[in-house]
Amino acid sequence: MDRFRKFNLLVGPNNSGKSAVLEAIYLAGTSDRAARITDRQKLLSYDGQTSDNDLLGHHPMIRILDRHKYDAPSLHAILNDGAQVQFIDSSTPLRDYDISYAPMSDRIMPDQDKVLAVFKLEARDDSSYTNPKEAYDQLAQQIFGEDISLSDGYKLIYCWLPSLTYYGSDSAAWLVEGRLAPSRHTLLYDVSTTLGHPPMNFFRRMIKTVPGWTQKIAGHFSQVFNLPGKFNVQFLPSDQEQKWAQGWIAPEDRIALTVDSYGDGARAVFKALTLLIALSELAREDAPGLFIWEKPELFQNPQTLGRLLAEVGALMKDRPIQLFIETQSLEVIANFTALVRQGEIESDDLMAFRLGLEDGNLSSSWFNADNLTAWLEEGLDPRVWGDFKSPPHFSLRE
Amino acid sequence: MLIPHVYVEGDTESVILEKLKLTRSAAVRRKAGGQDDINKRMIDALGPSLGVEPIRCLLMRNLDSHGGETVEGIRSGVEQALRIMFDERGFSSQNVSLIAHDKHDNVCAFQAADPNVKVALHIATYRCLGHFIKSTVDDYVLNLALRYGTVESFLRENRSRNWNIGVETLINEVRREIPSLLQKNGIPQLREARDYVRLYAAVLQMDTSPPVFAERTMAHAREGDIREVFAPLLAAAQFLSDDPVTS
Repeated sequence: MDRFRKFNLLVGPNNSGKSAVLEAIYLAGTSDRAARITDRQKLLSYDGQTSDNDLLGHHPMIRILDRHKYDAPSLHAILNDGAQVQFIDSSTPLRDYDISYAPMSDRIMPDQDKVLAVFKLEARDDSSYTNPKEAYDQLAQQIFGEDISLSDGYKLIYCWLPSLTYYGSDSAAWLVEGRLAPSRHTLLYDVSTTLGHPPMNFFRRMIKTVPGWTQKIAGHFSQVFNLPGKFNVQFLPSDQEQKWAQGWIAPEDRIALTVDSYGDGARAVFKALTLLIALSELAREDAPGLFIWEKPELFQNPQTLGRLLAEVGALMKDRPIQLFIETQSLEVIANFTALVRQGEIESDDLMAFRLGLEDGNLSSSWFNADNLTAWLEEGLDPRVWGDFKSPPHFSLRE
Repeated sequence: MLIPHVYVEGDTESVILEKLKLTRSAAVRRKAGGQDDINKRMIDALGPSLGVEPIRCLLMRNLDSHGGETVEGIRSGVEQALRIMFDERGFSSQNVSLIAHDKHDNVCAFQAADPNVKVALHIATYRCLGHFIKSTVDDYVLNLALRYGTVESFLRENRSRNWNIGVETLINEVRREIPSLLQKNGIPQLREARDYVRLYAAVLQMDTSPPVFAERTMAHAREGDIREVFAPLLAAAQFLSDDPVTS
């Protein structure tokens, strides 16, 4: 898939690979921690990167496994107090390799490196080789199985967790081109984020980093819900160990309530805005942001959804953040198309991709803003292949 | 086969296509604006499907000779738009070319196997009366409406109103006598088929909207006359069909 833009919408039938693409992007974006891969036989080593904590401080692999309710299998032996792993699966292309890595930036859970399963390789000026380009390309080709050159700007991501691959085949590798956000500026937002709470560590970091963070949350939240009256936003621990922070809405004229008391739609809006505001403040040109969002339409009335997406557009305007959304909602597509038409989003900044998956082969068709406008004005549905007659007839207002 | 993608300039075309059972109303897209707007809308709509699903598309265009349009200019514009679409989607546009139909020089078509595409362009080139400044689908409707069988049917419907004018007389009234009367009184000639259609509808005391008149005309015309008048359009539709030709 290419032609990614600032705002990217993934649409398509169920089981067409939308979530898989998001997870692949998430794992690529969170591969930030220095690591070294060593061929035990040839005693050759290569610099690369492995998973580091994301914006919220989550371990990406644990995050992904939790989404699917998978256990972390024992794929490798941990050596040297967790600083080095050795592959024991004889079928993996890296069976003769060890990986060593720097400690994780913020350890939330013990033994989280036992779920290490991603390695990122890119072209490097490695002085231990006479011809580092050739050396790194050879390793990349061994992993990827095809003739590729990392010097063309590709980053190779390799995942050796079978449960995440197509029909449990032993491993997966994918290439990413372009500038990735750092892991600490990468976020995967899904229903579990809505139903859960951000870590208290995250709250403490943001309070010390983002000027007026809670006031900004209140302001944007109010825009979405058209709330009368003034209110503050606060965060208090939700548990006795004070590991998780829960948002509170404190109106001027009433007692405060947790945001989770307001209903699913409100807390989804609150949490999405909370995190996006943080990201929009943290992202810089040399350290951009990556917001990966699964189904923003969940729990949302069409009016709220429209205002929420308008706020998202406003928060991302002129900020170095890239957004990937997976959606089943025609209204999400229509709202983004309308934002382009209204001039709130640049036409060249929007792209939708309709995915298809057959026998493990992913196909995609892209829709730029003009394509989306034409389709929606004509009552065609970008989400589906073939001649689909939806019960309601719709058309984007001209 | 109902044509899934149809691009037209006016509402009358939609009526004709539905009456000929060539498409559903939902498939007909009417795009106001110039040639560039229509061609752009076509490739914006078809582009995402190129190489993914079979594309079957009919374009119906008017010929405004008075405004400097030519058949070649219209053909070339559509061809260029298709080439842009092919290039954008990563397909070679080298062989994209609209070729004239062997029997109807106002129909041209393009087809490819991979990607699976068929596009037919029908240009209204027929002028019902020689002094008209443009050719539109209304010329074809007017032609059909002035056929003996159609007029006979119109009059049969009005017998209850004690009309006793003959078929040839009515045709003569519409084609010659009323326009001549207007001219004698200093009113310039009607320059487009659409204006004659309105005049004719008024004479028949019918709704003067051209699309409505087209619908009534199609309802009253003989099958043979319909097939003869719209032969180029039917040929374009046949090209797009994947069904074998039976007649």
